[in-house]
Amino acid sequence: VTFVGCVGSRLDSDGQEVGCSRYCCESMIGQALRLKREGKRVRVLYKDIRTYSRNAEEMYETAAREGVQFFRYDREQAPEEALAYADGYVTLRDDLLGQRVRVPTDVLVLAVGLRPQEENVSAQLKVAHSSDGFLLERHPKLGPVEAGSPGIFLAGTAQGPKDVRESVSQGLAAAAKAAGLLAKDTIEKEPITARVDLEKCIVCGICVPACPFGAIELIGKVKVGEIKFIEAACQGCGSCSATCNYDAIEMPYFTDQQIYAQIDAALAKRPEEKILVFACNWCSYAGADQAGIEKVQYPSSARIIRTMCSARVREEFVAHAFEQGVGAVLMTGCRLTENGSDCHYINANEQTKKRYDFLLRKYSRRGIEPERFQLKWISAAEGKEFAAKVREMDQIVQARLSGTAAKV
Amino acid sequence: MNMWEDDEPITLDDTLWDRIAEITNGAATACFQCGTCTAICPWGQVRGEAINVRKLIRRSQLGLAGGNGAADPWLCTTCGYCEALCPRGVDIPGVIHSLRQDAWRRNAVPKGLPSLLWDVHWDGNPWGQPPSQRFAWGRGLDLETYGPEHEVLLYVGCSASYDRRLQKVARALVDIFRNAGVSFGVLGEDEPCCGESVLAVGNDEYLDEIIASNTALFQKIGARTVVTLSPHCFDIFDTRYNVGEDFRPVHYSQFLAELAGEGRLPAMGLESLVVTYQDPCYLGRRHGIYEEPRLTLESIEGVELREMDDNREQGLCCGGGGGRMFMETPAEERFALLRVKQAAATGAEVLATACPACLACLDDGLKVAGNDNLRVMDIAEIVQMALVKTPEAAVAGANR
Repeated sequence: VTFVGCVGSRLDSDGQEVGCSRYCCESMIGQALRLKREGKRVRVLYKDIRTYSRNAEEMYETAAREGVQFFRYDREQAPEEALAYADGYVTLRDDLLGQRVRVPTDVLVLAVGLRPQEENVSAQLKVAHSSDGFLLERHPKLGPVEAGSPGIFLAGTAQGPKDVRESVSQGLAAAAKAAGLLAKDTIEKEPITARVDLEKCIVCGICVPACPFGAIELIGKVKVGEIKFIEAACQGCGSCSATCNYDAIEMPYFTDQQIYAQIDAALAKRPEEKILVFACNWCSYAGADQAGIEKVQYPSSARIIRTMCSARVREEFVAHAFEQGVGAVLMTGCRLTENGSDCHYINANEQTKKRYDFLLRKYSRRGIEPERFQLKWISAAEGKEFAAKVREMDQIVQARLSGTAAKV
Repeated sequence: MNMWEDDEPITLDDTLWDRIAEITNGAATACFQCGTCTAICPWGQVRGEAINVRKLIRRSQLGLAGGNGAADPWLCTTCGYCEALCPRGVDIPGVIHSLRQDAWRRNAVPKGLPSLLWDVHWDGNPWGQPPSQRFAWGRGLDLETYGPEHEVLLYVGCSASYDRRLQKVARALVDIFRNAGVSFGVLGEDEPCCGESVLAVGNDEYLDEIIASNTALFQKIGARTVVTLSPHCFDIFDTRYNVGEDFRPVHYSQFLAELAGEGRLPAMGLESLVVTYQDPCYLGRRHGIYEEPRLTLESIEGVELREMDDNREQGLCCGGGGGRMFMETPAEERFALLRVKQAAATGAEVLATACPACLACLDDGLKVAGNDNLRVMDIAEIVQMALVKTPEAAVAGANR
């Protein structure tokens, strides 16, 4: 009997790197040892043995001592390239010997890697998934069994490859979390959830896809049906409010009125010298804070306006700032890269990006220099990066001012 | 295309695997191929390139003998340094022993080794020396043949029986025992070969015969405490013989420490002597006897003991173990040459040891290195010198 590890894990057939499947080494070795004890000749072909679970390393050693033979094959290749099975022999290059070896084999057992489910579940439930395709938890340390959307919990291999022990632990944790939610009659929330003004609302439905949590439902048809807000699901990011063209959605404590007032106050004197910075509550504002904690200096021309999410910043805020003659506008938010979003509202910062790209084109056409309107992702740890960006923009503002002065 | 693709693949042979697994008693299976053994094998130091012990172990895991870039199992001096450092506790000398055993079955042993077995068979020693000269070392010493009345049996061994340099060590031990009032006997011309050389080259079939006949002899004469001159004889008596409950083999360095502990050793002194000590592999790493020889040396008034760079668990082998005494080693590849240089670096006048193989190899190494300020001596000789040469010092020591 010959076992082959890392089939469809770590490297897929296209040579793309995929994650370690974690459960297979222990499972393979456990079975190999049992078969060996039943008198079979057992070999295990592996890339690396990763027996990280409790007592698994001991089991590996026992298997080796009891005569299960281990062969390491080429780690740079998928098993279908590295191994050939024909006429009762598996041929491979034994990495440890540096020679090709033919292993007599009647039964070839493939330890197949775990793969994430096809899209449907994550799309239906509006649960984010990470770049490897498995569902993503709210926070790796502080919310390991909760999905980004409240009321949805993750357990076991939905979230990533795990062995039985880990799956059971996570299942118990998820059950406990769910029980905690069910034990109360009501759900307590921060008073920042969206308020819809049904008189202004025309039921256009544009806000429905904007909500990362599926908290807005359109009942019936556009314009004639009804918009329903599920307050328990709303997390208060304000994406919907920024999308609404009819000012029908208000975000308590971050109302349009409040934000306009902040913009006006910030730009009351010498607006051309100012840099207006929109910072999200979670990453960017904390990043600016971090600059302070680290005592990194940045120019006093920066005026920071906090919103819960960068997706709250609506087109009109930026337009208002430029109308007031602002030197520059900087939008910041949680990181968004090709590998996924760090956004605390699942992927709301994708809307930020979309909006920024649109506005940049718009203002460029109107003759506003693109360097005066920038977007920068700042994580909570990136105090230095924040300060550097503000310094850069301050120079842009100063250069523009001296240019203007020269003209006069 | 990779280089390896040109090679014909090795087809695993289950029968071969079974045989190697059986004779190695599964010793190699636990190896996870870290390569520590290859990195620290002293052959790497003398050859300037590593000897691939790791690969040898990997091949034996797969039921293959040496070859194809793996270390040659006949090079091994069985010094056990690799085993001491192996993170998986693999009995590497044991695996090599098994591979040697396998080589005998396949008739694939180096030239000259079969005649070694015949020498043991016909002459009772691996040197091919005449049996009639076995007791030449004790001529004129008026020694008694061992009997039930004696406290210990002094087992001299083949090397010290025939080699003129090593005979002095045997005579020194006699001197020490008499000074300490130990009642002892010897076997004289009837002393058999313990079989260690046969064990070292891996012919266990013949070894079994030797052990059986020697066991019968020890039982017949009622051997109890047997003091050996060589750590190798001590090792085989201790690990391979099963004579009886009263049979207690000890190396003389242990026995001297016992005598000292019982207050039976007279006080010893020398004017002044700087000594460094070579740990014999079969005393140190194999049996953990590091301190007894050092205590004996340090108990001599006037002796200053200095350690070499590699000592105790990290001691460098003399190159004479594992049957290497019977195989040719080019002068520049002898471990002893390195060891003598290490000894000279301590500023010692005497490089002491407690093993005939070490003594012979280090003496040779010293000759090649050429150093007039250093001598190689056995601890027994130093003790003898301390007892006999300066009686005043001895008296002074006793009065203290």
